[in-house]
Amino acid sequence: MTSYLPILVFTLVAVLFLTAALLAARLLRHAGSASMNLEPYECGNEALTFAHDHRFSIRYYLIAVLFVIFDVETVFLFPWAVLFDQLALFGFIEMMVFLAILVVGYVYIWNRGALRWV
Amino acid sequence: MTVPLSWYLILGAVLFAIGAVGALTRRNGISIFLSIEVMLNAANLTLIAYARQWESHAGQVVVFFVMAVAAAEAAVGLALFIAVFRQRHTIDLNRINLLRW
Amino acid sequence: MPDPQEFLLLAPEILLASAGLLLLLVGTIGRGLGNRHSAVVALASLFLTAIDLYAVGRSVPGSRLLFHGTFVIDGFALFWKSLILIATALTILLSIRYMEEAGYRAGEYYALLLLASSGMLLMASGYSLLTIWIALETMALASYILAGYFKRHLRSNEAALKYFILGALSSGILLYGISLLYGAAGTVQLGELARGLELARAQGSLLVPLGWILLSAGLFFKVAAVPFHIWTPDVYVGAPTPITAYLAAASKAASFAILIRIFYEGLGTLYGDWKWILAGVAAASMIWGNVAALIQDNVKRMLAYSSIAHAGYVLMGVLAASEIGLWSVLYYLLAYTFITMGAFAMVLLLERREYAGETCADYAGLAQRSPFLAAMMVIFLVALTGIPPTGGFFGKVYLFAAAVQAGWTWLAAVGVVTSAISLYYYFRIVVYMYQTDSAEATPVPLRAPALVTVITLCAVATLVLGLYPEPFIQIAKSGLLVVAGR
Repeated sequence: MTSYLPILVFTLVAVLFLTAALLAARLLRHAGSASMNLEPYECGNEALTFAHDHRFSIRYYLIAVLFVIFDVETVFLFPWAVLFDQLALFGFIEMMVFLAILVVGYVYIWNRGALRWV
Repeated sequence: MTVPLSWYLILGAVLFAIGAVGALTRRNGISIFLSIEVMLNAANLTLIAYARQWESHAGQVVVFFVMAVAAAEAAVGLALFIAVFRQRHTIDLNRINLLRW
Repeated sequence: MPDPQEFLLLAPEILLASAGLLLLLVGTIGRGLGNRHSAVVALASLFLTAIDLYAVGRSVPGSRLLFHGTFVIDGFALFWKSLILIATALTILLSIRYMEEAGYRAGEYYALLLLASSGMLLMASGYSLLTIWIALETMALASYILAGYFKRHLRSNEAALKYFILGALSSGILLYGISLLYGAAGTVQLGELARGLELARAQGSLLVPLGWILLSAGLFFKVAAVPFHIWTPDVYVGAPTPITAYLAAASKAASFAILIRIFYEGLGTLYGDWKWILAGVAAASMIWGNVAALIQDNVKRMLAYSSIAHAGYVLMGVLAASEIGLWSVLYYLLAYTFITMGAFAMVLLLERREYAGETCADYAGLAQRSPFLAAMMVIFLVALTGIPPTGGFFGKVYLFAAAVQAGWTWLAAVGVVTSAISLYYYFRIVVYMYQTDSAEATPVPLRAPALVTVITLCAVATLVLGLYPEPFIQIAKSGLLVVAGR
C-alpha cells in the first residue's frame, strides 16, 4: 500500500491547489465585473468595431468544420508518403481505400448540399 | 542542449490539469469543449515524449489517430452546439436544464 | 505487410461499416430509400455480417492475434460480437415505426446505427489500447449524434449535448491514462502491457497507479458505474427511445467487453491493486442505482438507474476474476440484453406524441386494456428483479455465487439486499398495471407488428434463459478469458 502514498499526496496537493486557486480568485476578483466578461476579448484587447457590422454567413461555419475534418485526415498521408517505397503496392491500395472512405463522406456532404453557398 | 523528458511530462500534466479544471468549472459549452481539447493534447504531448524515450513508434502512431479523432469530435460537438443554440439561444449549461443532471 | 487472410477475419466489421457508408450515400440520392427500405437494408447487412461472423468463428478455433497483435479473434470477442449484432437488429426493429412517426430523415439514422455497431464489433476484438480507443470513439461519436437525432426536440438535443460533453471528457481522461501506461510499459499492446506494467510496478513507478486509475475512470464512465454515472439518467430519458435501448444494451455490452479485456489482459498483473477500486465501484453502483430508482416517476429514468445498478452486479462478477465469475457475467449480459430491449420496447409501445406515456401512472390499468402486454411487462420486471423462472434469476445467482466463491461475501450481501430494494420499484409498475383503474378504457392497439414481435421475442428469450439455462451457459463458457496475472 505504501506505493500508493504518492497518490494520496498528489490528491491532497491537487485539492489544496484547487481550493487555494479558487479562493484567491474569489478574493481578488473585481466585484461586479460581469460586463467586462461579456466583451468579445476577455483578455483585454479592445474590439475595434461591433461584430454586427461585419456579419458573415453562418454557412461559413459549416464549410470550416468540414474543412477541419478533411484537413486533419491528411496527417495520415504524410507518413505514408515518406515510407511509400517500403509500403509498395500494398500501402498504395490501403491508402486508396482510406481515401475512398473520405470520398464517400465528401460525396455525402456534396449531395446533401452542405457545400452550396446560399 | 536537449530538453529533458521530465519537462515534457510536467508540461503535459499541467496542461491536463488545466483542461480538467476548465472542463469541470466552466459553464459555457464551447469553453468546456476547448478544455477537453487541451486534455487531449496533453495526452498527445505525453505520448510523444514517451515515444522518444522508449524509442518506439507506437506513441507517435497513437497521436496521429488522436488528432483525427479530435477533429471528428470537434465537428460533432460543434454541430450539437449549433443545434442546441438554434432551439434555446444559449449554450450555457446552467440554463440547459430541462433534464436534471 | 499483413497477411491478406487477416482482413478476412475482420470482414464482419468491414462489411458492416461498408453497409453503413452505402446507406449514407444512397440516402442522399434523390429522396433516398425511405424509412422501411433503409431498415430492411440495415437488417439484411446485419444478417450477412452474422453469417460472416459465424464463418470467422469456424475458421479460428482458439484465439488468434491479427495485424501485429492489435486485434484478436477469440471466443470472448465472438461472444460479444454476436450479442452486439442481436442488440442492433432488435434496435432497428424498434426504430421502424418510431422513425415513421417522428418524420426525420431515416437514411442517416440507420447508417449511424450500423457505423456505431461496427465500432462496437471492433471494440470486442481490440487488443491494443490504440485500437480499443479508436473503436470506442467510433461508437461514441455515432451515439452522440443518435442521441440528438431528433434535433427539434429540446430533450433529445439536451441529452446529446450532455452525453457529448461528459463522453468527450471521459475519453480525454481515458487517453491520458493510456499515455501514462504507455510511459510505464513502452507499449500499448495488451499482452506486452501486462508484462511491462509488472516490471514497472516492481520498480515502484508512479505512472502505473496513476495510469490505470485514469484509464479505469474512463471505462467506468462508459459502463455507467457510480460515481461516473451522472450522464445516464438524462441521456436515457432525452434520447429517442430506440436509441436509449441501444445504449442500454449494445453500448453497455461493448463497453463491458473492453473493460473486461483491459482489466484481465492488460492490467491483469495488477489484480491486487484494482480489485479494491472495482469492489468499491460495484458496491456504490448497486446501492446508488437501486436507491435512486426508488423515487423515479418516469419509467425511462427508472430504467436508467436500474441499468446503473445492473452495471454494479456485473462488475461484481468481473471482480471475482474466476471462471464462474466471467461466464456468469457473459450469461447475465446475454439475458440483460433481451430484458432491457423488451422493457424499452414496452415503453415505446405505450409512448405517444411528445413523451406522454412515460410515467408510472400511464401503466395504470394496463392489465385491462391489454392483458397480453401487461403479462409481457411482468416478465421483464420479474427478470430485472432477478426472480425465477427468468434469465435474470440465474444470472444473478451465478454472479452472487462467483462473488462468494472469490471471497467477496460482503459484496454479494450488498447485491442481495439491493436486489430486495429493487423489488419495490419494479413491482410498483406491476401494481399500477393490475390494481389501478385506467383513465381510458380503450384497449392498447397492437398496431406495430415489429414492436410486438420484439416484445414477444425478448419475453420468450428471457423465459427460455431462465428455464433452460444450460445451453446458454455453454455459450457463455465459450467466451472465457484468463486474468493475465493469476
